Amino acid sequence: MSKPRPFRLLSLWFCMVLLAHAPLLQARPVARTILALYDGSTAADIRFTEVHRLAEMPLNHLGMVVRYRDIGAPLPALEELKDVHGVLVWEAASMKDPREFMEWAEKLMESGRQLVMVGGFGSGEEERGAEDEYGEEIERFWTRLGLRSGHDWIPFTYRTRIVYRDPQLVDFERRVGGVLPGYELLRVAEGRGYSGLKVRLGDDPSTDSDLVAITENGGWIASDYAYFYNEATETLQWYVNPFEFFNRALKLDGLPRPDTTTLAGRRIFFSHIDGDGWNNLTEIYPYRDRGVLSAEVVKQKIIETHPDLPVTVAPIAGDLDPAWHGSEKSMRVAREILALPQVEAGAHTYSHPFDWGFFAQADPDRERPFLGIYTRPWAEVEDSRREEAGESDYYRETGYQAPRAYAVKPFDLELETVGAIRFINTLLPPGKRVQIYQWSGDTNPFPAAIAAVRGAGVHNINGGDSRLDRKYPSYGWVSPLGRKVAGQLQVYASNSNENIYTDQWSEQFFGYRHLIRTLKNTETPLRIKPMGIYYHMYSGEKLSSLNAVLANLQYARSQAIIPVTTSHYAAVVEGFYSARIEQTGERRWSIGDRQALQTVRFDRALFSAVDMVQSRGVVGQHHYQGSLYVALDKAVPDAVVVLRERRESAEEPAAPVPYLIGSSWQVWGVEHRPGALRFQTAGFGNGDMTWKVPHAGNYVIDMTGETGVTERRTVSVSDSGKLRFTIQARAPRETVRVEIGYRQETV
Amino acid sequence: MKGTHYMVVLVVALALLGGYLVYPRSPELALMRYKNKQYTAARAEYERLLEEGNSSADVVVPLSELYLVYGDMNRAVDLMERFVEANPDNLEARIYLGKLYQQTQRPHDYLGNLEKRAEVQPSEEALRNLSQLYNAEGRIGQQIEVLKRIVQDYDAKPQDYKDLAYLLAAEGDMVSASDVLRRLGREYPSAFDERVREFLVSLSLDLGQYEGALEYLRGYGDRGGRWTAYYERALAGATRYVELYAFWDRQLTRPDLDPQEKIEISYRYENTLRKLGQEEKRIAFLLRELYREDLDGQQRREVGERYEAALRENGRIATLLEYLGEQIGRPDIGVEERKVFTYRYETVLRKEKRWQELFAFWQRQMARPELSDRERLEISYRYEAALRKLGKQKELLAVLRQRYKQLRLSRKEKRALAYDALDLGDKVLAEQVYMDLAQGEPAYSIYVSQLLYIWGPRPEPYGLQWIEDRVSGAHGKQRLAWLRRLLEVGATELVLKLGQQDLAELGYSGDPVEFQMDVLQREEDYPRLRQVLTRAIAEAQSAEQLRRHIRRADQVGFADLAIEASRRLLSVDPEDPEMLRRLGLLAYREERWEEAYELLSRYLENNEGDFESNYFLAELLTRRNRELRAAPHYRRVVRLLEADGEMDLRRASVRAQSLYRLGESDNAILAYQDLLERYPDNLDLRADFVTVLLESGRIERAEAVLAGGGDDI
Repeated sequence: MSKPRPFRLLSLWFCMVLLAHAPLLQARPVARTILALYDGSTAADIRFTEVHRLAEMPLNHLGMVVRYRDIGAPLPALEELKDVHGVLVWEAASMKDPREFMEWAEKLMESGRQLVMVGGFGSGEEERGAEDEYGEEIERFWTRLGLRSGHDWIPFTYRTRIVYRDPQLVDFERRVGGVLPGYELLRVAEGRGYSGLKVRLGDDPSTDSDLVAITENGGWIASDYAYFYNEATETLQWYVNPFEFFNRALKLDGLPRPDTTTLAGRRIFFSHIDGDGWNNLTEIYPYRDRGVLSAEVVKQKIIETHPDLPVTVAPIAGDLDPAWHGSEKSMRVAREILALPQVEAGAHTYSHPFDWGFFAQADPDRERPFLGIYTRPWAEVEDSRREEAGESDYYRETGYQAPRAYAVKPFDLELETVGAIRFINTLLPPGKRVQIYQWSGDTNPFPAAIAAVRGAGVHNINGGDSRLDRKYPSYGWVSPLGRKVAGQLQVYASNSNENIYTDQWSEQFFGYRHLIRTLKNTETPLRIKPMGIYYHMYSGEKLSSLNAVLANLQYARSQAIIPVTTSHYAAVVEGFYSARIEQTGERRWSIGDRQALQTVRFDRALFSAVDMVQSRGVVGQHHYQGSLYVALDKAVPDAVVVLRERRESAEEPAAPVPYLIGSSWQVWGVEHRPGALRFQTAGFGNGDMTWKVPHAGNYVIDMTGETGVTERRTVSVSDSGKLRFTIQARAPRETVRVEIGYRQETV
Repeated sequence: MKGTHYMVVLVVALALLGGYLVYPRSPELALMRYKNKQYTAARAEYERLLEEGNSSADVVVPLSELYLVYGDMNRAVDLMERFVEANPDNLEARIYLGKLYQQTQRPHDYLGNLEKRAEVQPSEEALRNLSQLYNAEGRIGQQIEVLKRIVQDYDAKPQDYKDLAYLLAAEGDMVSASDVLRRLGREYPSAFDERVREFLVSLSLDLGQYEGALEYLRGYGDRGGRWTAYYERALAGATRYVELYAFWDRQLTRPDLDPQEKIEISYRYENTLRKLGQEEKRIAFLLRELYREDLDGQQRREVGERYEAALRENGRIATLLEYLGEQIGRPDIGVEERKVFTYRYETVLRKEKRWQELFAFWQRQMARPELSDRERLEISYRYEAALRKLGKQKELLAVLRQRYKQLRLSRKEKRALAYDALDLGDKVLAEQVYMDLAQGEPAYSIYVSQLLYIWGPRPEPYGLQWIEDRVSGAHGKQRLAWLRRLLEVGATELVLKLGQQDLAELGYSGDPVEFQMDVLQREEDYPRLRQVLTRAIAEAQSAEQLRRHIRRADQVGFADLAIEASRRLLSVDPEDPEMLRRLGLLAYREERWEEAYELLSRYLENNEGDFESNYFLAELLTRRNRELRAAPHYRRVVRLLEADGEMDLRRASVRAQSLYRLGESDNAILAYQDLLERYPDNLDLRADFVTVLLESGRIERAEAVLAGGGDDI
């Protein structure tokens, strides 16, 4: 007599329902902020600090948000640092009296937070001065960090030799060698950490010094041993592997990293155009003889030929407004472009400020000396003024002849931001609205400007200018996600535009082709940036530049991407900053407040997989380059990710329910039903997707569009368990409901 | 007409020629198209020209630019490379190619091109670019070569010299590095800044060029920090001691230095003197330092230690001892400090093996009135340790005696002292200490035990008197304990004298005869004991008394007296089972069968008995052919033996025998067989076994056993 067999899946559903509603035990918030102390007396803006230029991107990649604080300001009380995981001090040299800091830092370390010091309290003679004065305190501070001071500074290093290097921590982009910078004698205290780079004077072990070290309370990099820089050749290369160093020193291993590069298992693609050069007549044959605008060429040759790739077009209102420098023709072209379904509307200011800082003070008269440079300035100027402007101090200081491109009216922040958005909204078809504001000029808006844009209900982008190619072969040239000033977030573009590649649009107009190298290098071995193709309307002016953009788009099409709008990417970055992670179990996390960010990544996770039964709001998972990318469901505000071990690493992890491996469309609202999977999906171009299903066999897929018409298809799945299908392109972003019927396993 | 015809022909020809002359030739046509942005056509035109063999710059350069328009970077580069190869001396083309390499992001090709450019037509600009690129690439050797050329052949800047020097030094070429810096000093005096100076000084010192270093240290040595250290090193290296000392003297009188800094300078001063072997100077210097007024206690101690070290290292023992002696005798000295100096003083003497002086020193120390007992004791211990090491027993004992006599010792210290005295064989001292220690102690304290141990089993009369005094002074249990002590030392008579009434409490039921016999027994005075015991048995009144006498007779082996006492006991208590058994077994052993039978029967009537009594009774019954009555006893024998488990030869053979008697001959044979295997050489056993075999009719096996072939059975 055979025993009645239980339905395993049926019991599985019960489990999932029960677990999903089980109370979360001992939720512990994961502190995601790194407090960076910088010297406000030498760096006028955080943009110029090494933390922002060099360290913040790797920290972002590790899931950390950087908060800046001028070291000259009073140090925050520890109670204010609940969200702070660790503190990074890069060159504390300028501290006149470091005692207050050291006392504070000791308490910080006692509270269990990590401290990373790059450079000590000065260098050479200066340092000796500080050390003589506060020797005891400095000694105690180093001891607390896990180091022991040798009380000496080695100014000349010709007798210094490297006796140990940890290849995982140093010799990253450049091998430490050549003329070594001077250093102070500091070494890891016995049993309190380990060295990444140890040097010795001659053969005397008593002179050993650890120039890179990981300690129990943080980490240490000696001054000038983090990276190499040659100003003449603009060569910047990390000695230290910042990803590994910060991961170890700040003890970030194993944490889920909110990831801005990936959506639905694929690399994000977005593209945006600044309106500059809109009205330039193209020189491309044969249009050049017909008075065709560059913008028209871009529309015709780039946008219309790539309906599968969304692009955000942001005109300068002053270029279109006939009351400024626009015309009916430029307005017409704008209407035509912005009406295209794959085009998202953006605004690229009204008057195109070059020097945003200039306008931080609301005093229009400050612009009077420059009025002679403008065509149609807002006030009459004497002719002599016009001549003066050429080689002014202002030009030498900023590289700009005048603070903005147009000055038909005195600068008005409201007009510049909200006004520009309103103006462009008038050119849009019904239902379309400006979604994003694209910063102009030095892309260094002051807080009030960012606040004004945010107040207008749109996202913002630009700045950053990342490069990672043969000319700039370092992660040091890759920018962080954005810049947060006075509580306002400026989202950086993920790549440089053609203006940078053409030396300010002055030569090598084909240069933007080099973008592909950066796109590749920011994908492998680490995916640190999405794929962004960002250019100006003047690319429609020359055949070289037009061809370059087309080549880049061609490359994008050849890759496994998920195209989204630029505002969507900006919202992903905003989600990175707002995401709240709580650890609710040993390998269990709850992830909320993430806005458009729908991927968390686990590094070194080859042998981990998502426990699809215990997790909630997880659409899928994908192992890539040693990391595990977990796709979350935007319909689930507080997703729960539970990891499990897996033994095999060659194949996609097995799971009792289907999960997404990768998709060119977004996937959300996933419902697991006995024998069926339902979800919603939308995107650009055709929707290619791959799901991992529990069994081989035939699957019936029903796809219902917004019109209510259902298309049914049967797809056969081999033993690999990969279900691949494509949803044919309909109207961009049309939501399609999909139901996949699959065979129930019986035991 | 003809003329007209010619004219027409001429005009046409001229027109054609003119047309030919004014119509753009191919390169021009291509250029026109290029300038008109008709890139596709221009490219085709240029390519055609190239194919036709026109590889002039006019064709090649624009064509490569056109390739770039279409993103064909490799073709653009290939084209120019071919051109440059064909025109190696065309600098412009090479410059253009370099630019092309930069634009197409080929840094290594760019560098290679620059190298070639610098070869073809060297220029400062090209070399500077090369230098920077080598630096960026980390190619130090090549950067050095380029910088050398710049410094040699061009209008080098100060930074070039500095860069070159740093690179040379990093590569280990310190000589060249310092040459370069010197040259910088000559050619750009204003650029010879402090850092350069310091670098040059550092290099010179490492090269052993002390005079050279001094040249650059002029005016810098007094600056403190590293400068001063360099200066000292240079002066010392150059063996310019006079200047060095003068320098230090200057340093030491500097008003801005705090005492600690002065100490550090003086340390270096001294160190150098030491290295140079100027020991007299060193000692004199340190002595002077020692009496500097601005030192605090700690600093003075440090200097003092250095002074001592200097004296020691130079064998100036007398001075050293004098100094240490002075320190010890300082009126302001603290206890700890005096200890330290005392210790050092001793160490010197010990190391010098100047024992007499050392002992005299200790004696002097011990006599110092200001010393506390504790200090004296410590000295005494050190004294002792030294003597021990030297094996000077006599002196050692003297120290111990002195210590005991002069110092107030703790009990623990006294005990240790007594042990030591014993160890050294001085029983008198040990006895003295233990008598002291045992004062007021209970009778069985460790000190009393030690004292009695020293006195041995028979103490001298003064010892007995000492114990007697304790007995007299004690009450209750302590008095008894002391009496026991007296008994232990054989003073029986004394005990009897001291108190008959105490005997009961000592466990003798008030019977002095028992007490006397105990004493005699302990003293092994058997003849007297026999006398007393015989009398005691005869006079015994109670069964209890008789039992005690039997136990004692057994203990000392007076078997006859034991039997006598047993018989007397049985007459007092006829059913005493132990006596029945005892006498029964005795009778059996002495083959008094009837008596044995009677006694054992009475014994086993009411008692289960042991295996022996049962076996003997059973044997007696068997012998009387009363097997039926014997059987239960044999069975009991077997049961008791098997229950007991322990089977020696005797027990095992009793069991085998009993089994046989019970008619279990197979079991009996097995038991014998087993026994014989364990004891093959026991002839009695073999005989018993043969008997059993014969009696049970196993003749052949009996023969075999007899023949010693037991193994084959």
